Amino acid sequence: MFLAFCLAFIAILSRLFYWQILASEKLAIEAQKQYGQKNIIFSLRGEIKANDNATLVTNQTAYLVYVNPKKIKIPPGQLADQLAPIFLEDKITDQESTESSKSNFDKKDIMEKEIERIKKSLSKTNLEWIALKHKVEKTSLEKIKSLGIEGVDFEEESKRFYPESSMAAHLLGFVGSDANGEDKGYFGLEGFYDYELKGRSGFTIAEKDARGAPIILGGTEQIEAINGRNMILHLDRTVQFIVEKKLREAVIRYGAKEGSVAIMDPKTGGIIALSNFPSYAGGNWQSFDSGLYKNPFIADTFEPGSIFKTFVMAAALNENAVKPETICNKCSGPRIVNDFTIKTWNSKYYPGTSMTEVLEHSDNVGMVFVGEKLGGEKLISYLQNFGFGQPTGIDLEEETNVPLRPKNEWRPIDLATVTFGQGIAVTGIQTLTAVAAIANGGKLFKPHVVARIQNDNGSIIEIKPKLTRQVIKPATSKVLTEMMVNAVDKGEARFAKPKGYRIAGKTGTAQIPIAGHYDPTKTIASFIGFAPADDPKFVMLTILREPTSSPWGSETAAPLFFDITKELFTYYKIAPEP
Amino acid sequence: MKQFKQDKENNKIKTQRIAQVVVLITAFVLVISQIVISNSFSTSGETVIKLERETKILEEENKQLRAQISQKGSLYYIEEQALVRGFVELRNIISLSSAIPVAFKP
Repeated sequence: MFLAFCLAFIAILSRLFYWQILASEKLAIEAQKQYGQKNIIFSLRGEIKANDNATLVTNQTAYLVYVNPKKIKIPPGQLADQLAPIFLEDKITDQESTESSKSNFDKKDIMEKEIERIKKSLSKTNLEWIALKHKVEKTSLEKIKSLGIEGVDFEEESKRFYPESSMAAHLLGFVGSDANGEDKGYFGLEGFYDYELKGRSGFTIAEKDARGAPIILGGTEQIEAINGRNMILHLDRTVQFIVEKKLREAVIRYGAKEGSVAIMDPKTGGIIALSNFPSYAGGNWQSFDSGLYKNPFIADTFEPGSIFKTFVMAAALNENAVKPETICNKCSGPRIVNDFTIKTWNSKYYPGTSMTEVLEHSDNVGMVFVGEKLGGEKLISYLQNFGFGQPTGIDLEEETNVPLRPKNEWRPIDLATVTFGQGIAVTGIQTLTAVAAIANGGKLFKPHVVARIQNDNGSIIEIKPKLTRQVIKPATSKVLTEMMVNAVDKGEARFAKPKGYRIAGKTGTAQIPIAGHYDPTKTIASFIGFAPADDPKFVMLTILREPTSSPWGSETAAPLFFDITKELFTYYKIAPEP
Repeated sequence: MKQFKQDKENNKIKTQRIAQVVVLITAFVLVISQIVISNSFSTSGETVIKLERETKILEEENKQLRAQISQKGSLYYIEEQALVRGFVELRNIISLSSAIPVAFKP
């Protein structure tokens, strides 16, 4: 009896030792699972706002619809037929609101693909949980609920919402998913500032009773979620609205393949507006061709053509190689360099032309003369100082750059053609930034889209304008501005210029290089300028690719520039001179 | 001397007994308090859940209203509404560059 008692005592003691010492950690976790309730507190992605604090991108509650295949009692095909039209409903509505993609849209084809996708997901019957659709809107969710299908359930998540619809889509970028299904920003600001925007999720662990209600006196553990930071941009949504409208009209009017317009504040480098057409809608990016996602203004390069003459002239004036009244003594006919013949755009030649007139006539031969006066080494050095051949560092994800060729690889013909913007590849943002330096007394500022960052606690971080370098002297800037004003007043585009204003500008018509030669029929028309010339409020670059109504920048990109300028003068309350 | 030692011993025992009683009463009060408090809070979990749900609904409504306000304030919506209400774009804007004097001094 005593022995039995001792054995029972040892057995109980051993078991207690096992529970309390050996298995305590494991059992504590098991117990925690039973009475502990863990709730994830999702962080909200930061908002993106215009300079007037109007919201451009915010968050909306959406839902993840999922199924437990073992609980589904209807055939997968029937379930797919019922869910697909609801899943596609939001997509179709968004799509129809975007004119640019209307023609490519085939509802029937998309519906069939969606049904197939759902069926394929449901075929994984060995799984307990299958996500069917992310970011489903509340109205669609109500419809799914009303179907009363057993085994279909949902959980809350967040979705990006764009109150201004597709406005500034290229600038904003969009939010997709990474390899783990987590939200991730792609392109534009969403891509560049993904880390700052996404924030950090938190959680709470609280003890719960048998009915799942929290026990007030029980232990709780909480890690607060940190919401993403809000971005407040330099972007003026009224200007952006004007630009998008005018650009869309111009692309249609001039039969262009595509177009871009960007406006910058020359005193800060802040991007006031940036638009490309065609574009896409950030809220429905999946339905658009992926080729539309990148921002061509910063991700595509082009031969700038005659707008480039302003930079070469700026360099020559700054080095005192020429003056506005310097006479060109080699401008009476075509020039031959390395067996290549350089002609003017209209085969008209101006013997004894001044440098002011060289810009006015957009004289290629005159620019070769300027390049020779300046010298190859200084020319290359100034191009580098203006920021060509290196990324501008703009806070957008997809900026690209084509480096300038090494100094020892510049042949005389390369130095000659670069003076009128051929044989060099630049981006729109490089060109805009460089002209902003001319408008701003020679100071080159780093272009920036975000003006302020607002933390979750409300504190604001100001992003101050960053001066890159002084490229040309303020005096040179003034002289060149006068020459550009003259080029507008007396140049080919003078008919479109608003009366009573001093606008500095330069037209450009660049040919498109293909397979070692220039396409004889296609051009890139552009216009670069700033206004009012004496105290510039904005710098603007307009680009139209392959316009069909006229190949010339003076007849396409320049009228677009002046059309937008007229609206901006009214908006900024800049009155004409009497 | 012996009497003095006896009295001292009695006092010590008395003090110990008082201390024991105080500890017991305190323990009793604490136990009762815990029972009462636990009892009164036992159903509060439900209330907390209810409040959490209400908070969530309000937060959701707030989010939806914010989105609606943003949409109603969007320039595309304002333009659409302006056109519906018969507003047209003004083409001939006149700028008054300087104030015209009302009267000159003689």
